[in-house]
Amino acid sequence: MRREFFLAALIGLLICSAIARPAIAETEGIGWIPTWRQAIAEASKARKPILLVAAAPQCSGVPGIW
Amino acid sequence: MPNVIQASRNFVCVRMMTYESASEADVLKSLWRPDAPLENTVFAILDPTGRAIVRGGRSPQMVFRDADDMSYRMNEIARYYGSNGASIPKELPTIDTVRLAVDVAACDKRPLVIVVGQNDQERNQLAARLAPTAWSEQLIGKLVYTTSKGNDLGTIRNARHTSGFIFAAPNLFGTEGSAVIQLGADANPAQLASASKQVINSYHPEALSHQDHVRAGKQNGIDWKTAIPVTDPHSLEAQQHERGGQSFPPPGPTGQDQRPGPGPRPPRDQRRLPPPPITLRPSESRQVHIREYR
Repeated sequence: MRREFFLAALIGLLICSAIARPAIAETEGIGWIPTWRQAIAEASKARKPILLVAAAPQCSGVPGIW
Repeated sequence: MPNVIQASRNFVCVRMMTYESASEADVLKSLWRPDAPLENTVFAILDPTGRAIVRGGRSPQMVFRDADDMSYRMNEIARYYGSNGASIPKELPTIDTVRLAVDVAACDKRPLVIVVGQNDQERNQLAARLAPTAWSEQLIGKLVYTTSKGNDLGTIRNARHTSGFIFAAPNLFGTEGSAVIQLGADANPAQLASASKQVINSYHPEALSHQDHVRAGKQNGIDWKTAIPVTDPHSLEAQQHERGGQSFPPPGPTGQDQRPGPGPRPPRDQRRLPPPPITLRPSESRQVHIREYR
């Protein structure tokens, strides 16, 4: 289960570093809001807690991969 | 992890792009370890006002045992705040620029939708029409969205620059896209839903391993400029390795990744200190009682 969790983790929280990891983006189904401005406004309005993740959409200057 | 996806309905889920906005970097730094440089990934759970109630460091793995533990805790937090998922966002979740949206779409291996309007009012109207489709249970999280005035569509092949909706597929590196379906500004919700499903079904992205992707990007001279400097110590160390000739090795015979070796050991006075401990370790997180969420 832990392995599954790692592989399917929320955003494919990939650490772009010397430690290369397989590319994954198994987040289909989660409705991500991509900006803080939109998110905090929505949370304030809906009184919902916030699940926050951030990731760099490039690795070593190469885009197209988390 | 369907249980986490289900639990996410009671949350506002935000995924920010690290190093692509100075103001968002300030938000992320406020959730990060004091005085430590911002790293590539950040994870946290916040209350509805934006105050951190679970600081996870770089990833959920640092807080939760597994997906079941995560969904259990998320449901617990949602109950505490009386969130039942009934409220669906009204606003289209848009990335600020076409350039970044194409990149994110490539990262996610998903198509994107570009709402083109000549002025703010028109863009807002068109985005509002698309929003219910984007948040529908069938399509939630399956497309990436952005808006455009029509003057920044040079990287989208065959794109019409007139008002309307462009359903596009990103290339491997997220540097360009191709228009697959285009609808005018008079498109109705049924047409928008149909086009969304069509572009999802027609999109079959190329998939490389992480290391092969980076290697191919380097070989093709792809170079992404972030909005603010990268500060992740691991990334900077990797870049130093590259500059020192410690590039990634060729793929192995089995096609599996071969991680770069550690390289020569630097002199003692140049060795980087290990990062400070994570704010909240798994053993600590389980001691956090629901009453402390307030």
